[in-house]
This record gives sequence, C-alpha cells and structure tokens, in this order.
Amino acid sequence: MNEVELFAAQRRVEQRKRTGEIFEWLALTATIIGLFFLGLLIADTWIRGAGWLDWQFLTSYPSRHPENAGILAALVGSVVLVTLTAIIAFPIGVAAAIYLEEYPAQGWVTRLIQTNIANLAGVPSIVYGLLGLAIFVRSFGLGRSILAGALTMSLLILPIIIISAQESIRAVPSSIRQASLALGATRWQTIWNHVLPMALPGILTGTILALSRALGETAPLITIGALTFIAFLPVGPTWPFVDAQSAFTVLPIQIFNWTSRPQAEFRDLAAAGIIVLLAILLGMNSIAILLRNRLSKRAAY
Amino acid sequence: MITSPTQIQITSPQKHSRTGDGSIDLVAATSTDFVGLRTDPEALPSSLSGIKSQNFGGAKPASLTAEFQVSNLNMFYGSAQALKNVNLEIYQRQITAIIGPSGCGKSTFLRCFNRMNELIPNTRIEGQILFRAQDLYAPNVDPVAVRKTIGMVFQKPNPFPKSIFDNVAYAAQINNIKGNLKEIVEHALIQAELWGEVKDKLKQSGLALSGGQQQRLCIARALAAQPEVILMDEPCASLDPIATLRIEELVRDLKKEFTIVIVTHNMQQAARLSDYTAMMTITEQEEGKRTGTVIEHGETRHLFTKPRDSRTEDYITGRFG
Repeated sequence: MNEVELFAAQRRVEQRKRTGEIFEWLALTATIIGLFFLGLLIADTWIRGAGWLDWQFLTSYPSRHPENAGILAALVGSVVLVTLTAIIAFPIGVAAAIYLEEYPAQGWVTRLIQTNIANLAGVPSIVYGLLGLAIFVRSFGLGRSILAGALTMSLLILPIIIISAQESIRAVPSSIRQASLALGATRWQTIWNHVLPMALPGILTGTILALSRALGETAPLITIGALTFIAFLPVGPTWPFVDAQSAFTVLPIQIFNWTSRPQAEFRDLAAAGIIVLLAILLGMNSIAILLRNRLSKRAAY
Repeated sequence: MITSPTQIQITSPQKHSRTGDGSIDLVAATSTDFVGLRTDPEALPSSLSGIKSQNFGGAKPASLTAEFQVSNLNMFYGSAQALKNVNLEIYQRQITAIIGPSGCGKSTFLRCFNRMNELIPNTRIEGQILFRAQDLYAPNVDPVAVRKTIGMVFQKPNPFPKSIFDNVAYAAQINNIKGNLKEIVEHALIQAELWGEVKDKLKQSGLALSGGQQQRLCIARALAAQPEVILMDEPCASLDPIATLRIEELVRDLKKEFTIVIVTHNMQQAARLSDYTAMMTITEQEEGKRTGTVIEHGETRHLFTKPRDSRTEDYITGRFG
C-alpha cells in the first residue's frame, strides 16, 4: 500500500469516527431533554406541594376548606384497591402464563389466544372501565364498590402480567426442564419445583410494575363510578378488615378533583397528593427491584 | 403376571428397595398382566414372536439377556424422518455405545428409549421398543414411569440451581422412594463416586462444582431415582480428558448394576468403554431427505477390528465423519 492510499483510508476512518461522535451527542441530548422536563415537573410539584405535606394532610378526609382537607380516604382506597387487584390478578395471570408456555401448544387456538392477549394489553383503559361498568357494576350487581373497581383493574393489568410472566417462564433454560422430566418428574412437578422458582423474580417484577400502572389509572374507575368526595374508609369491623362492598375513591381521582377546584390552595393540595402518589409508586418499584435482586441471587444460588 | 424370582434380584443388596415386590411397574394400574419383568420367551405375546430382531452382530451370546429389543423403529419430526428401520438388541448390564457422524440421529435414537422425544411437538414413532418384553410405547404405559425406570444423563451437565443435597434428593422425592432421604442421597453420591469430594459441602450449590463433578452429580441424581437403565448422551463432550477418564471409570463400575447405553462422538471412548457398539450413519433418501439408521451392531472388539460394513470401516479409521 503506498502512502497516498493509506492517507485516503485514514480520512475515511476519521469520517466514520465523526459520524459516531455526532450520534453520541444526539443521544445524550435526547436523554437530557427527557430528564430535564421530568425534573422540572417534579421540582414544580415539590415546591407547590411540599408545604402542605404533614400528618394532618395524611390523616384527614377531604374538606371544603383547603387547610382542613386531607387525603386519607384516597390513600387507603388506593392501597386497598391495589391489594385486591393483586390478589385477583396475580394467580390468574401466572396460571394463564404457565398454561400458554408449559403445556404443549394446540396450534391455532393458542396462537389466537396469544395474539388477543397482546392486543388486550394495548386497549385503552376507558374501554375496560365501560366493560367493568356493564359486567361487574350492573350484571353482577356489585354496585360502585371497591370490589368492582378491583375486578376492573384486574382485567386491565391481566394482559401485562401474563405477558411478563410468559417471558420469565420462557427464560428458564430448557435443560432444567429436561433434567427434571428425565428423572421421572411429571410436568407439574417440574413446573412447581424448577420453572416457577426460577421464573419468580421476573414474574414478581412484572406484576409489581403492572400494579403500579393500576395505581395511577383514573379513567376506568371514574367510568365505573368511583366517588370524589368520601369521608369514610373501605374498612370493615372484622377480619380482613376490608369492606369490599364499600364506595371508594383513589389518589388520582382525588388529585384530579382538587385540580378542577377554582381556589389556588386546592391546586397546591393536588401537588401534595401527587407527591404521595409518586412516593408510593417509587416504593413499589423499589420493592420490585429488591425482590428481583434477592430472589435471582437465590435462584442462581 | 409372570415375574421370575431370579429376575427380581437384579440389584445388589445395598440398593434401596423399589416397589414392594421388586417388579417395575411402568403402568399405574395394578392388575396388568402385560407389564412387569418377564424373561420367559414363551410369555411373550404371540404377536411379537414373529418379529425377528435383525442382529447385525450375529447370534446373541447365551449368557446375556436382552434389555431392549428395538424392531423396525422409524421416528419422525413432523414430516421429516429422523430414524429409519432400526433393529437392535441391547443387553442387560452391558455398555452399548452408539457411534456415528454428526446428525445421524444418535441422540434421537437414545431419546426413544425413555420417551423424551415426545416432549417435542409433532414427533411420531413407528415400530416397537421392548423393555424386558414390555412395549415402551404401549398405550397403557406412562412415559413418566418409563423415565423413572430409564434414567438419562445429558451432554452438558445440568444440575438444578439448588444445593448438592437437594439435587440428588429431588430425584428420590418426586418418585416417592422409601427410606431415609439422607441415606439415599449418600448412597447415590457414593455410587457416582462423588461422595468423598462433596460430603462436607452438601449444602453448597451444585453449580459451584467443576464440570466433571457436576456431571457426576447429574449421574448421582439419575441413580437416586433408582433406575434400571442409564442412557448417556455424550456425557463427556464438555469435559476435559481427566474428568472424562473419571466418568469412564464410573460408567465401568455402574455396569455391574445397570444397563448403560452411551452416545459418543469419541471412537476411542467407545472402543475403551463399551462391550457392544452400534454404528449409525446418514442415508440419503430421495432429494436430500436425510435419515439415520443403524448399519452395524456387534461386540465392540469385533466392530473395531473387523468391521463388516465399509462405511463403518471408513468412519472408525477416520476417513469420514
């Protein structure tokens, strides 16, 4: 190779390097834009709401007077709703995922179910609200209760749980299944002893993220008739101390309600409510990460 | 049900008790006169007497009992035929090696013996495999029972991500094997010649062991299910030469109690280790459809010194494959 060719090659290499650098800067800018506006929102919310955050705010019912208003009913409502949703959706979702992944495919039927689940995950939440209103509130006669809300929310997040559980189950190496089956284990023994324990971290992460979505949803609950002004809790006198028939409200609805009030103080109260909601969401996601780390350490032994 | 008493005591005394009367119950139902240990040739169903096993190695030695009799076996993945017209006898408490070039269906054939192939959708089998006169593919035979009785060791060591103890104990627990679990685990680990290395760290992960130890753990696990036969699918393919030698010594010892069928790519290994060898090869069907078949079977020392088929000779002398 003579000298001229070598320099020509070098110029081309430099050009390619420059293209790479430009792209790196573009990607960095995109990241900064996203983070900047998120930071701005959080800062704005914090400045407006932090002053209202106190014990009285957390333990009071809504009021016409901003200084007396609190978030207790919505907070408890959200916690109870998400818990009920988890109890309903988790077993159904995991069982469906096991069926779709572990039991031999029945050709087009399974493919049809699979496609529909993927599509259901993309259906707007208001549609689930209408479904819940028609089936749970009216047909089942559950009324505008927290149970009807939880059932509706379960339908909403079921596709997400199924898909994430399926992915975790699929990630379990087939050599483990073969090892177990070759010892004379039945399919169920193999699933229960090996597949589920190894897939559990992923399944739990997916479920908690799905529940976070349920926590932030407003539209379907408004549709099925969650109230906006509630001065009691969905609790009962006996174990499990939850009155599933009770009317309810949740944090996003309470926040939405406050933002539509004319007084500026209520908008600050809404900001305080958002901080509480964000704190719960961050808490749930942290639990998801912790669980995943702990369980995957145990699964890898 | 004709169970010959001599046949029942196939296991050494220190082996743990199996099902009550010593018979191997492949079928869940108790009153199946078609199931169990039968050595009487007269006791064979008349439909089977017509089948002549094409034994490529000549007459079977009088001292040996057939463990498996494979007749006219064809195996299909969907529409693709993987095995064609396989006829073979495998003898009790002998090591049978299956050799042949890559892709000739050695593993597929091996997996026919414990019905692992049917875990893959759209597989189909024709012909017959008799295990001690019981048709393994008869409709009343449960594949789960087959796999308990006919154990398997895989190419890549695949211990469960559990402790050494739990790895072995699992095999006994799922099969409801009676007895003290600790003793069963210890016995299996001794049989697999791993006990001395792991007895102080049974609570440690099976994945922390070396490759060769992991493979012996997998063998111990297979033994804890108290099988009659052990199928080995290239058990040394991912091991270094020293670990390979240890496995080979172990296999030689296991032969005293178990029938062993081993697939290997390594012809020296087949020659060193096995009593009988089956040579498989790929035959080209019409327009590029390739299926595997057994072309020669016989005593290893004969097959390696005086192969009768030119393709066997080419393969073992390294001219192809």
